[in-house]
Formats: sequence, structure tokens, C-alpha cells
Amino acid sequence: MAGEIKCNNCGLDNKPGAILCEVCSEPLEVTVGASVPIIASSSAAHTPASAVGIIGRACGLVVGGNVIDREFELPKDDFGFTIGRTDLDQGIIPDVDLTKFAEKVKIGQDVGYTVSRKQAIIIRRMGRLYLRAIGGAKTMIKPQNTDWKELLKDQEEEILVGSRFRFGGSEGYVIFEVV
Amino acid sequence: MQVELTLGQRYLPITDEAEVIFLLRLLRDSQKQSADLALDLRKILDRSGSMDEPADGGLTRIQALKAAVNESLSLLRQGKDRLCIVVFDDTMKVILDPTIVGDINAIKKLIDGVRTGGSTNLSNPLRYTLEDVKPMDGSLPKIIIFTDGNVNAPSAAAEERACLELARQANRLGIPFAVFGTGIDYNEKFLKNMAEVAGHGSYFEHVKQVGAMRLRLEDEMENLKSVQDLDVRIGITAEPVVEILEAFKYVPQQLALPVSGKIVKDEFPGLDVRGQAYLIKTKVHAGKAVGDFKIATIALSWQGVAGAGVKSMNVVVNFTADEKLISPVDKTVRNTVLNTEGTKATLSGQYNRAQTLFTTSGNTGMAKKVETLAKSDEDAKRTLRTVTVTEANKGIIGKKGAK
Repeated sequence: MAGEIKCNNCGLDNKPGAILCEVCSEPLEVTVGASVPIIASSSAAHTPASAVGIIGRACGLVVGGNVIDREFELPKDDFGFTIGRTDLDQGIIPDVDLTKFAEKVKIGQDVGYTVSRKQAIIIRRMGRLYLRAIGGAKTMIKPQNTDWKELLKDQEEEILVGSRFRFGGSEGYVIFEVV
Repeated sequence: MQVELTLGQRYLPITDEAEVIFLLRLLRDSQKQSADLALDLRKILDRSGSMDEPADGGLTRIQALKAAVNESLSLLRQGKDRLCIVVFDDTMKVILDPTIVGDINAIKKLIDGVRTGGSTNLSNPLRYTLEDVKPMDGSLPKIIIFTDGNVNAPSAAAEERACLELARQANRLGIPFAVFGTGIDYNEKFLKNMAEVAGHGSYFEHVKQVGAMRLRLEDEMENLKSVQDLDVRIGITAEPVVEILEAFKYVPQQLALPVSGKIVKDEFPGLDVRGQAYLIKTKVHAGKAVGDFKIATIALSWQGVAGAGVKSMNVVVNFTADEKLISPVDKTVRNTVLNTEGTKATLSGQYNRAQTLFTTSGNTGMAKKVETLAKSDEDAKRTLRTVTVTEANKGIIGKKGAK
């Protein structure tokens, strides 16, 4: 029948629309794409994602003012990811691990790190990408053609091609640029 | 409130039967202020003998808990929020009657004075916070429970029954629980069940390091302060030829919702910065229908700052003979299905399957957590279960869940 999806694991023909096999529960190989959500809102009209600037695909590591490497891919779907420092004791393994860039610093009587375990999150919402600070350590962002500014905890800023962000303090930091 | 519906596939081939999956997301309206209600926190803290065991940072569990509670007090708004603290072993002691927060240092002294004691009776303090603490008008109540042991006084079975009955009472009153357990001696299934019975956005979390309670309490308060629309109710009703196979919600944690006939219902006290998300899986007996085909009706109601809100949406797909029109499967819906199954696999100890599902969805961070923590001890496995139900689908909500 048209549209049935054969399971590569058990061979069952699954119904159109299925994502997991009805019998063996294995993921089915389906054509995947992004659809346009239906928005019902009582607020101002929604601006389509296509109307706002160019969304980046990856973040490059910046050294000496130049992008030297494609460090990590930006999310292509609505599954955002965390940026921070690994702490296995607390079960924290960020999607973008900055442990190698984190340095110990003295904060008053205590010892802290220049990168939080959960420093920031990149999320995709309504087709746009945002960087949100979620940790205590400093997160700086430089949207294209503007100055650096600090993102305070729970503040977020849209990121486009050319946006740069910096994690860490003056003792040690890392900069990424959206490419 | 902004409501967003995403269909797994909008256009499907003409067929007798199809599976239609949709994702419904509720988000705060970025143009509006928070409701700015007072918080009414009722904390129930374990001081049984086992709280003398070593915790992180060279402290005992009780010392670490006291420090965490004390440090989180600064987020309460003086003259506005209300706090009540009860400690318990086999007896209970109210160390702070329900009080509008004023002198933080005086509260800290009361917390510092807590000493550890005997065995564990949770039902008496729970009954006190539900029955003796009077409601506070225009506030968001929450009962926060922290324990490290099995409820066992006078007996485990009687005490569990009593606590579950009180959780049902909390459900009727609309007062949610945040339940935290540490160590490996407490009954995880019981505490989780208690949170599920209390409903209204209640949740259970395992805490590996007692000191991390500070972050959890702070997240809890920040989330409550960000609440915008109140008393949110949702009903999803399937059409006669549609069966609802499964329904899940994701804030504060992944939870399977009961399906009653053709209806799924949910309600929670307020929409906070995380928003809310639902995944609904249906089987449609389409009978080779052609064209637009209604699957279900979504009805929403809430109390906003500017008055009551009501919204209704139809879930409609289209069956077409034109192969070029057939939609690809929406990536977010597919990944939500895979992550939801991955979470279920983790909870049932099928770690290899969980890793495969998370990897297939591109959720490599979660796959790595399963790989790392599943090999470790029971404490780590409890952490993994909490992390998975809270974070596996973090991308579909407005903000990562409490941590």
C-alpha cells in the first residue's frame, strides 16, 4: 500500500506516519524535514523566520581575531544544547564541553572556574537561534557590527552569522563566531 | 499565551490506517509581564539520624541541606513571599510557622538550630502543611520535600499509604509537590509515585550532592516567579475514528498522561518560563478518505493577568493521492518521539536501546550520559533517571528544566 514504511529490523510494513516500528519499536528510516508550526497566538503577529537575517550553521573557534576552526555545529532543529563544563559527580555533561578552556580562579575565599558547569544554552525557537546565559560565569555576546555586551543569567540574544560569543573571564576565555 | 502545533506529517498518502503524531507547545507571551504572585513555600526537611552521614564538601547531609536552604533564602521577596519550614524524624517540629518573609537572618538561625534525630515519618508534617497551613490568597503554593530515607514510622506500609492519601488530598487542593531524595536508602518508586499522584506539575528528583539543593531551590523559585498565565487547563478530544495511543507532557518532567476514552486532559497552576509541551500519538482509521481530515480538537483555558483566556484549535491532516505533496516527517516531532522512547528505555534499564534512540535523534549529550552513568553505582543510576526525565526533551520547552 502507498506510503507504508518497511522496518529495516523486522521487515514489517508500518502505517504511513509511523516513526517507530509497531512490532519491534526500532526507529524507522523516514524522510525528515522541518515543517511550519501552526501558531495560535493572541499576541502581535508572528514574524516568519525567513524574514530575519541569516541563521548560522556552525560556530568557529576564534584565535587572534580570526576564525581558525569549525568547532561545533549549531542545532538544526528545536533541540537546543548546553554549553559548559563537565562534572560527572553531578551528572553534568554539556553538549558543547568547554572543560579544556575552564581555568580555576579565586572568588573571595572560594575557588571557582571561569566557565560554569551550565554556562549557556543555544536554543532554536520559531526558526531562530538564541544564546541564553544560564550559569553564574560571565557570558559575553557581540552581535555583528555592535560592541560586546554581557548576557546576564536568563537573558538571551538572537544569534546570526557574524555574532560572536565569549565564555570565561579575563584569566582565560574562549571566543566563538557564528559562520 | 502562545500556542504552537506541529504535525508529524501534514500531508499523508491515502490509506486505511495512519499514525498521526503531533506536538503541542505552550509558551509564555514575550510581550507580557509575569503574574508576579507571592510564593507560598512549605518546606518539609528530613532530620532523621541518617542525615548525619557524610555528604559533599566535608559536610554531613544535614549541614549541606541547611547551607543550601539558607543560601536560597535570598531569592525570597521580603514582605511578599511566605515561608513555612517543618523538620521531621519520627516526630515533626514546625521551626517556622507560615510567615511572610522579613528578617532572613532570623530564619537562618532557626534552620541552623536543627538537630538530627530518629526514624522517618513523613505523613505528619505533610498533613500539617496541607491541613493546618491556611491558604494564602493570590499566591502560588508549593510543598518542597527533602528526604534521604524510607518512610518507616510507625511502619513502612502504613506510612506510604498515609502519604499517598495526603498526595491525593494535595491533588484535590491543587497544591503541587517538589520531592527530592538523596542517597540510595529511600524508596524511589514511592517518592515518584507520590509526586505523580499530587499532580499539577509535581515532580520527583534524585539529588546526588545535597549541596546542589541550593540550585534546585533557586530554580524552583525563579520558575514560580516567572509564571504568567495561571490555572492552565487543556483538553484534547479525538474524533470518533481516531484512537489516542499515547500522550506525554514534558514540564517539569516527561510524564505519560492517562487517556480516558478519546480524551486527554491536563492542568497545572501556571505557565512559567519553561512553557509546556505535549506529544500525542494517534491511530487514524481513515478509510481511504481524501482531502482534509480532522484528527482532534484542542481546548485550552487559563487565567491571565488581563482576564480569562480561552483558545480552541483543530488538528487537521490531509490525505492526498499526489506523491509530490507527501510531507517529510517533521524533525522536531520525530526527535521528540525518539527522545521520549529513549527516556522510557532508560527508566526500564534498557540502556543500550536508550543510547541508540538518543543517538538516532542527534541527542548525543544524553546518549553520552546514559553510557557514562549507567555503568556506575545505584546513586549514579538514580541521577541518570532524574536527568533523563528532566532533560531528554529540553529542546522543545522554553527553558531547561530545574537543575
